[in-house]
Amino acid sequence: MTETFGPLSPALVLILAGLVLPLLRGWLRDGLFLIAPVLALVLVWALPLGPGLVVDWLGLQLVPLAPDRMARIFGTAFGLAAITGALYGVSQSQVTEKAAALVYAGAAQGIAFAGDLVTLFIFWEILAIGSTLVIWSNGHWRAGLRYALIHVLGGVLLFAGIAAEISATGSVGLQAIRADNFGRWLMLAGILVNAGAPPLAAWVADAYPKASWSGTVFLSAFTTKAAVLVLIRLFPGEPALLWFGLAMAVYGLAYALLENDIRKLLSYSIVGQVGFMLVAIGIGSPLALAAAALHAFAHILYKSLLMMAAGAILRSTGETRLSALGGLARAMPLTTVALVIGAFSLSAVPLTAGFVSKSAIMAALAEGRAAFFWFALTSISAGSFLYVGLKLPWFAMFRPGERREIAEPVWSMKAAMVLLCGTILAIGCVPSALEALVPEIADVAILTPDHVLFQLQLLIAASCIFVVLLPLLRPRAGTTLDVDWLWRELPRKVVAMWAPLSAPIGGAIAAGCEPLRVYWTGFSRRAVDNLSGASNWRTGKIAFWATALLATYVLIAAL
Amino acid sequence: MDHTRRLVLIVLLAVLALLVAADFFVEHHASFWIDGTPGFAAWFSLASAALAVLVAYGWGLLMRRRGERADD
Repeated sequence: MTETFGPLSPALVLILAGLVLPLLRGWLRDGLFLIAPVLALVLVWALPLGPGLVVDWLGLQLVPLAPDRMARIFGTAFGLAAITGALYGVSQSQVTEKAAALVYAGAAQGIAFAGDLVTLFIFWEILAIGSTLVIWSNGHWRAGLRYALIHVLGGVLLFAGIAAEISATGSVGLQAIRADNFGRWLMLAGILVNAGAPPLAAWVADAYPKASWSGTVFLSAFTTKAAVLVLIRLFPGEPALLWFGLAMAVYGLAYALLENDIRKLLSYSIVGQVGFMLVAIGIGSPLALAAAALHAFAHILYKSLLMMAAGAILRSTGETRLSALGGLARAMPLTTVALVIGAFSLSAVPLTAGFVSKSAIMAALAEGRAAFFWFALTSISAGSFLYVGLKLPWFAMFRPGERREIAEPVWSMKAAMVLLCGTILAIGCVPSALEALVPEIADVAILTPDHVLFQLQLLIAASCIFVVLLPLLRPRAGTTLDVDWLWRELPRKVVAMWAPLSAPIGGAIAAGCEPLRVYWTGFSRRAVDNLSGASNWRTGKIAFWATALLATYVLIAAL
Repeated sequence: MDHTRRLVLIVLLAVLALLVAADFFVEHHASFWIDGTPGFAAWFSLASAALAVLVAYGWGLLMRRRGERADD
């Protein structure tokens, strides 16, 4: 029966639904918005695993649909994110955002199932277009433009790398490689831009909070995790990824600890958690790659949940600054529970999905004897609990705040959050349920007494530090400078500095160039006179020069 | 430190002490020897979390600016 689904791609279903959506009205539109992601997830599981159909296009052997186990893991995560994201955002009035979100989700599925570099690149670009439209649909043109420009840069780097790879090997296949030549470094750089790696990591926290309360949920799920999948396929065991990953984890931790805006804090945390995945990919063993995929899977679930809780707070209060929030737990109990479960999962609290996936990553680092990275990531895990498990719920929900007349979000938003809470807890309580999807984790110690005790000590000790150093963690209004200062503020400062100097310097340059200007005026006048008198040239003279030019051309061609 | 914070800290330290005590009675499967010693996670996390807060705070003193970005 499954073979009948062979040619139908989950990507195609979502992209077509996204294109048709603006043409529909009322319940038909909402129905398609909800059903298309469900159909895509059904297809992810209905497609038989295998090498996929080969399509000959301009002499290139393309495999647009190559269902393997990794495609199924990421396809399932992308599918769940699209289903819950659509349910959460069904009450969103912006049809552009809904349509773009479906196209965006479809492109992520296309990347998951791509079996060659050309198909991968096509869906990579559709992904960038879809996500940019999600940001633009909330009216943030400048932020969307910055996001688009960064992704154009990433796309150009990836395209140049793919072109170099195809010309060097003659193959468009997706195969494991090392960054051992210039073309492959270009490819790696292009993928790392989408993963949110330094030095261009700032785009994540710049762009994601600019989308609407529902748009950010979609944004948090697809772009960076699609890049993680491509790194698993193309660069497993690449040593550079260990250091990029560690840098991302440190960057995400430091900036999230300083951040005041909930959605920016969660965006920095995306960079940090993707860093964990990159370190695992850098290890490159089968367990490490499975752990990276599993962590991406868990991260998509709990980060969607956290962004949903943040969106619910934004929609109910019109505010996402921690310094202006507080005391919401009583008015928004379900949102508070969702925020806490998502935060606990990110912090790897036992009985949550994040505990399962982080245990797998640490086991892979131990198996690979990567002691430095094991201790570094354990240390960063303790720090992560500070900003997401303690600072975020305390300052947004639990600390005493002003009384507000607010209500819980609408039923569809609550249903999506309940669905994700249940999935995260179910995975955390029964990790063996994931063994069908990721059999490599079968031997990883997860809910063993020493491992649970280890994690509880880590979390309670971090809580002690939170209480002691609370004054240093108090959220403050403002922004933290990042590398994007170079293109967002430096040009403005240079222009401002240049303005008072432009008149005297311009005058000095004009005075210095006066003799040149006089000479050029005379030369051009003589040239015009000569050309206008060309009709009086003798035929022999014209023939001579034409022959000389022709001979020069032939000589150059012969050489 | 106010009264409530002090009380919460005492409760947390008591829980942490209990967890460390329990750590002496379980079988450890160490990855790199030291992480299998009882109470390792407690002191390592205390040091790591404190370091993270201090580093972030220091970075904030250098890089944190008042107000929003000009082009936001």
